[in-house]
Amino acid sequence: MIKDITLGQYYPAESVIHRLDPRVKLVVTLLFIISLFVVDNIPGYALAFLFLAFWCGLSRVPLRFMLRGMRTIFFLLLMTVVFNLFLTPGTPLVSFWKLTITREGLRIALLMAVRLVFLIVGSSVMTFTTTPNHLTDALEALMRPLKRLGAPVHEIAMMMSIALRFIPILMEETDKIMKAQMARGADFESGGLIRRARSLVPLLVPLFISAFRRANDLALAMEARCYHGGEGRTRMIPLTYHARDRIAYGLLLLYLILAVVIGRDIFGLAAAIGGLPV
Amino acid sequence: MEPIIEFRNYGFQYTAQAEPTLSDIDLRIFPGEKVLIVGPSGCGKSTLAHCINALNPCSRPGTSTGSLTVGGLTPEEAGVFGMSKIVGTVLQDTDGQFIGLTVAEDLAFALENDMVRQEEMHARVDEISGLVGMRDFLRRAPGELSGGQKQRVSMGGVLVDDVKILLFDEPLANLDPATGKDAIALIDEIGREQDKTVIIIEHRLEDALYRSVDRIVVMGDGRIRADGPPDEILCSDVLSREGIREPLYLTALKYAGCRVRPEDHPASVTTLEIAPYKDAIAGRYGGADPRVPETGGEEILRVEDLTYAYRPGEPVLKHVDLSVRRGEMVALVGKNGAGKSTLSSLICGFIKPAEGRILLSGEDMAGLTVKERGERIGLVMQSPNQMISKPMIREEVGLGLAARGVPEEEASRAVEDALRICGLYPFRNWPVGALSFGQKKRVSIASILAIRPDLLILDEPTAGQDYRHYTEIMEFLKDLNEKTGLTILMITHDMHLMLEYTDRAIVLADGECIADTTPARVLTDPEVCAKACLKETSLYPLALACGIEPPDLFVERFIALERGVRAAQADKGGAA
Repeated sequence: MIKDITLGQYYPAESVIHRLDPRVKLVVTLLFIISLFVVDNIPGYALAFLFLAFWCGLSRVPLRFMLRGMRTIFFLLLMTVVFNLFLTPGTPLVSFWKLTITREGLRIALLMAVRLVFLIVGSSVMTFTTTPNHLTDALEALMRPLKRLGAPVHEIAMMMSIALRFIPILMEETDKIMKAQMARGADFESGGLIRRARSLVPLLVPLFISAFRRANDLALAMEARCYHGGEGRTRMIPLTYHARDRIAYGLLLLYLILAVVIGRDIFGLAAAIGGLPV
Repeated sequence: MEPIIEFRNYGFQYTAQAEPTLSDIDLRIFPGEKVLIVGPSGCGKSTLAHCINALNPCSRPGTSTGSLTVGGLTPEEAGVFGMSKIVGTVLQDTDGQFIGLTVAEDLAFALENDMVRQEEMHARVDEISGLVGMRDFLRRAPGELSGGQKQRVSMGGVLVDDVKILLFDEPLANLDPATGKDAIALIDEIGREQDKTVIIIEHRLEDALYRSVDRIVVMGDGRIRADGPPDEILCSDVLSREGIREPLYLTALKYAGCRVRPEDHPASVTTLEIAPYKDAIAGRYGGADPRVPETGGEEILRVEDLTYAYRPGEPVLKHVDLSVRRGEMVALVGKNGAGKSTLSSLICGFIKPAEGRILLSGEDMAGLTVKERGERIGLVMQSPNQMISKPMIREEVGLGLAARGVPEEEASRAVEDALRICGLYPFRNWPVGALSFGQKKRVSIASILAIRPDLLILDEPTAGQDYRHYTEIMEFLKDLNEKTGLTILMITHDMHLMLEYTDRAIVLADGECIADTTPARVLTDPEVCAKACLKETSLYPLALACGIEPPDLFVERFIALERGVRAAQADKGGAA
């Protein structure tokens, strides 16, 4: 049951996106997400959709993999839609019992749904095509300016990469401990949310013991191999930009300009053409 | 020649302990030597090792007396970082010391810390990966590697630094027998080719001696009890005094009344001069077949044509058939990944078979839930720490009953019965934290026994335990089996355990059951051993050398003798 969590899984394949510098992917993903919140008309979303389709297509990750991640956020999506649909004041469209759907509500609900889906798919392309270690490298590189302000950038990145390294081990351990308890009659699957949460408490003790022991062992191992903190380390595989990365940045810039121009309708083009709705 | 490591009247006491862990240590190790340090758990052998690489007292505070120099430095002053340039340490749990997210990055970790330039780093990683035989795996993640491969990476990770001393802390823990053999061979090769000083800390003497060493240092109670060439140490009685198991072939010679001399080279069964003892052995181990005819108890567990695959097209189990009779003690063996854990998961109902049936006392279990199966099949995990979740012993043992809603009075009786059987009744109101590892193990077994299962499945019941604790746990299980008639199925890597304590061994290799016979026959069958990554017993070459046919009968007779000796010891212990 614990293995159902697919978010943030790497999908090995040979594609341009896989080969891109992780910094590029991180920047693209971040700016793409921001663009989703800047854009607020249909042509703008059509553009975002085109960009996303292009991005996904190049990644060669099967669509069903992308959509599998959607399952985990289905409830969030549903709730966002329902709340926006019924609780936005404005011009009523349909009304039954005590609930009213307004024109504005419908618009916002749709917008939020589209944004959320695009956001999840867009960022899952990054996690599907980038190994966790590349991702932490990119984070460290992009956060480097913060070092001047005294932020422990290297330590944060090292902590993240160790956390990522230990997630599968701890998952396996949890699975083992759960099985042992299940065979003894513990029930993790029935009952309400609170009961289920409470049934997990007995797992925590053995899991914490194991996690602490591992943390201690790892610290010893790192020290015994000359680790002395972040200052003065080289990287085995340093990040370097290639031509494809520059092209990607160029395309991103083009998209962003178009997104602002079209999505915000700066020149009033839509109105001029004859007033597309929205 | 100057010693590379020199302890002079050295002592060490952890700040957290009332007594010194090491005292009166005088030990000199010379460059290029290969030294095996043996001793029971808690004898201070790991502490000694961690004084050499400065983890003591730099990471675990304590105070030392006397002097220690390693490669011309005083570890305490040089610190862990300073010592890591001279001493390469491979810790016990290779999974826990894998730092990088890929093999290459893990190998490069020390170089990265050292600010080595990239080109040089790649060249060095390439060279080292070749040395430890991992060049084809550079881009793999740790999760994709086997236990043996992880150990190779750990070894490479310390070799990149061009250290002078290689320190191995229990390199055989968690490895299957054949992989353990490979590990010892690799340590030997690297030590010799790279001209390193090698120190191996182990309590499994016979396995560690698979390749020759220059010296054995025997430790006990924080002191050095003996220090000398293996041939001499093996002929003295210091090993049995300190509770270290001597190699089986030597025990066999002893039972035959032979006094082995150092000049017969007893360090390995292959170098042992057997001629003088041949007649004594043939006399002692000739005679009748000690095997008791099979007890025809009813069949309690039956697995029919079982097939299972985690991923389509890659079956982990292929048409496995086996059966267990009531009252048997059976070993399930095979290398890591052979399907042993999958089989126990299928029996317990965590996963559903793709094909085939599992019958418990003749009844198909397909419709039973995990919980229902749990009432009849008890599963004991490798480490009690994976099972214990309540602070008090009584609560822990009663947990399974509470989950089933058994009335309090009945539950409390069952708990007390289980505690009595496990010899824990006097501790019933104690907190779990106050118990030793062996006692905790008993608590985890008692908590299963309270549910009164028909069949007990134990995963590696003695992993990581020294000979004394091993004997303690196994004698307890044997007793349980004999007195209550409980059927026990053990998943294990321990060839001694299987030989001495089980009636039958089921051998899995690549998802198929390749043997189902007496442990003695399995361990004298080179073909089965090779296929399942088991290690032949050293009694086998001895039987061949003495011309005893068939070899498994020789092994049977030895085991019968061994059990007799142990029972006599237990009686003596009981009387005292």
